[in-house]
Amino acid sequence: VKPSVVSGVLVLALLLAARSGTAESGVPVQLGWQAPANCPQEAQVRQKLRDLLGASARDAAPSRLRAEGQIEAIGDRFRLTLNIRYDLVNATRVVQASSCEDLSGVAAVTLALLFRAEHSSNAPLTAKDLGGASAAIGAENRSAAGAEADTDADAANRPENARDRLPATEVAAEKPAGDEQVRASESGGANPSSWQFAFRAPELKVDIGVLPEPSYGMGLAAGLRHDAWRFLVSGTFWLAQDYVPGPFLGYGAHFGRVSGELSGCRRFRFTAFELAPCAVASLDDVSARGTGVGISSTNPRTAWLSLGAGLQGLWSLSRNAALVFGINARVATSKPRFVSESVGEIAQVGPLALGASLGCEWLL
Amino acid sequence: MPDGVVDHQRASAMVPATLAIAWLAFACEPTVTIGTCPEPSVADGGGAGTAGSANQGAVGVPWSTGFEDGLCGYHAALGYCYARHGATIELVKPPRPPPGGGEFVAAFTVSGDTTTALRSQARCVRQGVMPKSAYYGAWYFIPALVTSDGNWNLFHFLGGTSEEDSHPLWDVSLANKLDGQLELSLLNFLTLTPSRSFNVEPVPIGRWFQLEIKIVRSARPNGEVIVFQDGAVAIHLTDVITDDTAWGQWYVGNLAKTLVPALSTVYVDDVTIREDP
Repeated sequence: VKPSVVSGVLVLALLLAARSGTAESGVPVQLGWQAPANCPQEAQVRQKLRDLLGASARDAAPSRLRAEGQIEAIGDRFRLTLNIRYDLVNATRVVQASSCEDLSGVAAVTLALLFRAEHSSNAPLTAKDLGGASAAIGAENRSAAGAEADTDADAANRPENARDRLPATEVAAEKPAGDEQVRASESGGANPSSWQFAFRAPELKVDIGVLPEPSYGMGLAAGLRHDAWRFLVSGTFWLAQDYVPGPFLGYGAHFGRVSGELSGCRRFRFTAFELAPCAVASLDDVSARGTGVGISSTNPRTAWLSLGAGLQGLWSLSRNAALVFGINARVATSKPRFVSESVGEIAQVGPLALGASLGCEWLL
Repeated sequence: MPDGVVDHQRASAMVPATLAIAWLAFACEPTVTIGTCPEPSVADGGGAGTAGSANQGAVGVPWSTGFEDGLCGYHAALGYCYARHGATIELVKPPRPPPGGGEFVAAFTVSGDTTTALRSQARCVRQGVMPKSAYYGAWYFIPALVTSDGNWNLFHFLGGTSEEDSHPLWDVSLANKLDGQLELSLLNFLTLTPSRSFNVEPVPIGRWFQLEIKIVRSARPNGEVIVFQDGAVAIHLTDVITDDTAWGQWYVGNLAKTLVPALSTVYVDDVTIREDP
């Protein structure tokens, strides 16, 4: 169990437990329950849910969540099938464990988390929320059940362990601006099989060291997020620039530039912010036209690869949007010299380029 | 495996990786030619179509450039232009129409600042084995009267086996007369003998004038050097050693050590080399 997950779940459990003492109203989630006689029954699950939600359940608006749980004995083990509905959206979670008490705890914690997510966000819950938001407590698809699910289910009934597994969701339940936290929990590594499509547009960029003057560009990027990793392919169109180096006044070059970039980042989350060190490979394609009296040009192009590293910061604005800023440094594997006849070298690509970017990221 | 050993192995692996990146960063510097000169044009003051001779080491004659194709007239003849120590070269519309016509002239600007340790200079150069006897000429336009320390150079000749192994031969410069007006001066570097113009008008200010020098080359004391100002003989030397080597360079432009005011621009057009008929 990752330390960050353990600490997150622990915090959640503490927060939930702190409120359980005030629980006195009914369960705000419609619940149906079937279980063998030797397992916790519906009343016990409802009580556990009330304990987890505490005063928040009493004060909150009615939930649109509905759930039906069923525990079956399979040999010497038990299987929980929890069907969850939210308006027209539904999902099913299946968990196996050696103890049906553990499974009843899983059901209660799952519903408590969803209830909090529902009431901490203006956005409606999605199928991904229903099926994955509380994946850390052990909700797995059928093929992924087994030992992993067993462990999670066992942990769900041991508060100090179960809480360890839910870092982001706990925060979502506690803070009003919890959209981004729920969003973070979806992609924060809680669900090992989650892939999310990420799209960045627009991206404003500036860099130095490639063309003779600082370059300003606009681009877009697309890629995938998986757990704490993000892989993006981006393209940038840079503003053209005219450069006259002297001492031959009037002689210079007109530069055009496009670039592509491949980046892989590993993020580290700090509440609403993420920081992600990245490895970067970029391909610059520059066209240059010599200018000056008597000079003609075919506007030749040249391209080269640069390798480097960077740091990206991400500030979640909502469930699906974030502000992204980044800096990077790249070493050019080639440094073309741009030469014009009769006046010689106009410019040369520098060995090191430094860049900064600012953009919006959208998760689909 | 102990952590220290692993760390050492990682550190060892970083060395070739770092070297590889450094090699990538510094080894590859391809040249991209983004501007080219056109083929020599007859319309440009007689053309510059003698590059074939220049390839063989000899300066082809006749040759001329009126800067209508920029600095390409020199490039086509394997010459070059340069500007350093605060100097610039610019192709501009002429302040007055030059005698040879055309749209562009070259503006050579230097900074004759006494605080500058090195001589500010902007020039264009022809190089190779010079003709046995030839006229080297250019039209100059000096917009304003300037006071110099005596080293305000317009023409310069070098001799040697190459640019790296060369020595000065002749200077044609501007010097202030007692009344402040400008006159031509000639310096023989082989004998360190200066000569001043005589029986000619002061160098005109604000109008084009032709500066021309005829050199009958000789490594023995039977050579001849004549400086012409607007076609009139200003300085005439006979029975002199003009060159002690076959290869040489001819500089046209502007060089100054100390000028008042410091910033000086001279305009140049229709640079020519023609053989003695």
